[in-house]
Amino acid sequence: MKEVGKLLNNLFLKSCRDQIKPLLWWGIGIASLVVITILVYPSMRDNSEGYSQLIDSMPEPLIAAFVGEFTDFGSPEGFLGSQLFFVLVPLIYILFSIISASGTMAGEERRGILEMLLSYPVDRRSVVVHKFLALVVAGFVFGAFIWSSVLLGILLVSMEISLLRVTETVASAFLFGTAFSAFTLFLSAATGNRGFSVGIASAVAFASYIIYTMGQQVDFLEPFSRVSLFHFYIGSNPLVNGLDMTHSITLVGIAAAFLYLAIFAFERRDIK
Amino acid sequence: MAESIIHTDGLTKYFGKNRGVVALELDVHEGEVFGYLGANGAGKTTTIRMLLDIIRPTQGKATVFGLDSHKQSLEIRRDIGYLPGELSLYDGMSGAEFLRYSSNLRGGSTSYSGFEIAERLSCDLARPIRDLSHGNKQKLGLIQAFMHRPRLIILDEPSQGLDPLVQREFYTMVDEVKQDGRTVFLSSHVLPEAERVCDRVGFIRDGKMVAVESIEDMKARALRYIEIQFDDHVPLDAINSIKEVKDLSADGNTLRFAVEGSMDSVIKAISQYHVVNLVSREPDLEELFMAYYERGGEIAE
Repeated sequence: MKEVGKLLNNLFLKSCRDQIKPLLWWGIGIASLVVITILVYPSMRDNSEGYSQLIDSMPEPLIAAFVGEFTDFGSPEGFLGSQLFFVLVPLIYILFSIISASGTMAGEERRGILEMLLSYPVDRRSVVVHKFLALVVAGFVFGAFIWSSVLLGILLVSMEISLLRVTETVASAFLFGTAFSAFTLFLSAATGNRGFSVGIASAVAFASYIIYTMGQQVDFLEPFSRVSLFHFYIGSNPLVNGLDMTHSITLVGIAAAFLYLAIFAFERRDIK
Repeated sequence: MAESIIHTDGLTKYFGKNRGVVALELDVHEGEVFGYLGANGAGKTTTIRMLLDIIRPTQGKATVFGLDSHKQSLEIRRDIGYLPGELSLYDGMSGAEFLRYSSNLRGGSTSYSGFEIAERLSCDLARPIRDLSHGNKQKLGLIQAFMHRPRLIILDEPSQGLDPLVQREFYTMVDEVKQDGRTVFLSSHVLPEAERVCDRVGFIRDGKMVAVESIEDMKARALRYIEIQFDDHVPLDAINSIKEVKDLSADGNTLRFAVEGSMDSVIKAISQYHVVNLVSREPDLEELFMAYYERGGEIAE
């Protein structure tokens, strides 16, 4: 009981505690998906010629949309890059970030808990900052679930791939997810409307994905694809080249900017 | 008179085109229990939320402890206990965890006195909040508002869902706060509660302060609705000539009228007749408002 009491001693730890249960379910879900996906690898590696022919017969935009630049499914990098890190991991990371961030701000406001909290001597800035930090921790733990399940999968199918590069790619996904957390937190802090925040953040995520994949195919979209969040996440192919510092710093910068905007907006409006 | 704990100056709030409160002038003195009365939707909660800086005024300003309700809100909230009208708590916590968390958010260890109050209100602190009845949640809300012994306690419809025994204990707690020289500001839409605990009451209607009056004065002019059924002779003229009697109407052997102030003359007048039945009813808030309007009221400046 005493330990629990200590755990609750501030807003940050309370916000972290609120994330634990959903985080566990999300973590188990993503870990299972990752492991199951990697288990397919041996059959794909052994039939890589067949898959390559299939890929060759597909229209290019389709390839770009679903597997990105990774067309060599037979190689560990090609497989993980196309099957895991191009769609599955970022998609679920985005979902997780959007749902957690909108829940902790707009969700609590809707339930009336925020009103109670703000009657305490707690300034609005710290509410946003503590909640954001808790989201970062939750995102990090979520990344740890992904990282360890990839590791497990690699061991199970004896895949030869640099563990450092895998770690760097997961780290890039974590920064990507954090940017979406901050963006959603901003939308929720500014409007107090969970549905709106989830809707807009999802639309931006989708647009960002489309612009990135289309940009690789359509010349006039190419410059736009460079401002897509997906570009900063995976554009430099971290699985092969490692983490791109400029891209990582950009993601951190985006998160910081939206955190600032979230504070700015939240301090200036009526709580519903 | 004592220092103003709450002071508002032309406090106005509109939600888009919807009226919240309009040019509200309010003065609550240190050490008093002030009842803020009005029907649902009159603007009580809006006023309270502005005092706490949860929402901001469209015009005018409010001060609490002489501090600006917006610019110095953090300082104000250090010394306030608040029970929201629509109380929401963290479902997953137990009552005890919630009180510890509340106490920690205030940066002190006030949870001990919280546990004492919980005992007084016989509030079960072990169960998760999601399993508590509305009344038990309300108790937790009261505990967290009282436990740090704040200078000002703001309660929005505090006795909702409390059973009569707990309600009585709650009234005692309010009295104790007053004896301490601390201040209670409570909103209510039930008059008897205000009469029981308040020193003064303010009536708000459609976002405007209609009247502010001390409970003593109000009681002296207490309005009562009386219905008397007589056996055969109905003393219409005798009753009508009493100066405290208003709105007299007869219906067969039954007389209905309102009495403002003392009942003495009425009792003496009817004592010579055979009374079959007598029903006395206190006016509800709406009727009291009407009485104020008819009299011109003591409209707040």
